[in-house]
Amino acid sequence: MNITETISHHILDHDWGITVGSFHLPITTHSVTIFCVSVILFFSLWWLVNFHRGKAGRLLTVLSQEYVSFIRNGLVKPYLGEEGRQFLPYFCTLFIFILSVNLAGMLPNMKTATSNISVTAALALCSGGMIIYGGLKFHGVIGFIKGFVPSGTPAWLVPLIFPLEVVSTLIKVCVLAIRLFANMISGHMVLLCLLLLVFILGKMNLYAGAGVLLPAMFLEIFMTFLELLVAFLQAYVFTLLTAIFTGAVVHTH
Amino acid sequence: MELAVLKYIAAGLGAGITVFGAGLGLGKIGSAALEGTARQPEAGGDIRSTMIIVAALLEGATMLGLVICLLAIIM
Repeated sequence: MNITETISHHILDHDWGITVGSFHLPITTHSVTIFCVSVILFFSLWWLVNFHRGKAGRLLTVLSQEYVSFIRNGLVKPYLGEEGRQFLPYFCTLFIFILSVNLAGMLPNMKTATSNISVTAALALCSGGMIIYGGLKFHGVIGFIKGFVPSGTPAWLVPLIFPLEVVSTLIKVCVLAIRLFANMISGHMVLLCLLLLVFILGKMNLYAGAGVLLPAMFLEIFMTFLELLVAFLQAYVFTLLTAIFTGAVVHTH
Repeated sequence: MELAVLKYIAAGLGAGITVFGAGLGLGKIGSAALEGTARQPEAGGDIRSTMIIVAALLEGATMLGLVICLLAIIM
């Protein structure tokens, strides 16, 4: 059993791309996963909007109203205030998208798309764009640039504080991406390494492999529950931090 | 010692120190949450939510260190 092959098959991306001449269109497993999740979410919500008269439709309507209230009261109202209501669709979409993609990785034979740094970087860029858009819309370009420096600082401190604040905002957006990526991939890697431990020890000594089997299986079950918790938590933390950063940019004055 | 050996030593040490810092931080968060809940049991739900959020942020910082250790091995 080749360990490198096993790890690369289960965790990394595979490119089934289309190559026409010198033009290469990369169609990878992770992009197919994102596409399928988006299509399923879109069609289920479209069905909910148009066919919400029956029993299942009523239940899902109540659930989606509860969900939007949860996002609005917990995330948008405390941090963005009343004028932040225009940002509510973005946060609802973000939370349910990240949650669906994280949970889709827990189904058997499916890959977690957010365990790819490109996917999380794209999500963080969308959130960064939302932060900059919020700042520009509420304060204009000059106000946005002046908003980095708090209003009471002496003039000799400004050349020190301004680059620090700009770099800090950029780093916060990057850390959003890395946090989600690292949490998702570490969960799958621990699960995989526990399985491989049994095989590696079994190759060295058959009884060592058999002995470590039961503890490894219990640890696997525990890690699966932990991964489910981490899926929910990381989706919530991503949305929460985007709301906090947008609120900090919108409410500087 | 060649680079190939030093890489693994550095990654292992880095991961160990990172987990040490995370353990300390999470222990402090948990202890503060337990103390707060013991003082005022009605605020238990709020304290629990705050504790989980702060723990997730700390895990973010930990994972940053872990990613750098992985990069040290792969590159």
